Amino acid sequence: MATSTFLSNLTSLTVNSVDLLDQASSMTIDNVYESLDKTAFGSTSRSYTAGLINNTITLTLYNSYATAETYSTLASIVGSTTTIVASVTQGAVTKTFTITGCYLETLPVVNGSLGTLSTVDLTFTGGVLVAS
Amino acid sequence: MTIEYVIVSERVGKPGAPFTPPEGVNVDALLEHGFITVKKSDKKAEPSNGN
Repeated sequence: MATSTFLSNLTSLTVNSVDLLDQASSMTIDNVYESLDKTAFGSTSRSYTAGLINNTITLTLYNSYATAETYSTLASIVGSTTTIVASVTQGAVTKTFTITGCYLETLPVVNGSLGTLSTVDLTFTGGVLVAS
Repeated sequence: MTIEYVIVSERVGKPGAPFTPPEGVNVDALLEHGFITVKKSDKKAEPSNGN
């Protein structure tokens, strides 16, 4: 049974210091520890230990080519690292997650289909995650 | 010499306010797309008259 439920709701989101909260419809931050197989002879099941941390941040943003909007925020950071800050509020509690040095490999520059709003799905990888 | 920046876009903060880049932020990208600008020096360059 859930002991704490809330409507998924970001209260702030910046990518490279640019506020994109009003353009975002989905976000996931995964704190990932790569698994290293340490299974040895004699084992009957696999066992693992933690390797390097490899965080993954996925974002869905509405696309806009207007000045100071989605495209202009992202066009110059693809292929490089940046900082993302996201806050989630539940009642009186606010958690802020800062990912410094995460890498954006791919920027979809055109993504659309007839009769739908254009969105871009982004995946940032790596970096250092700090929760406060 | 430290370069000072000024906010241009409301998406970064209050326009006209100084901008201190947080750790890891790509300042060149912000400059390239006009989110911020480099603060112009208030001091006039002193003429060198050789005297």
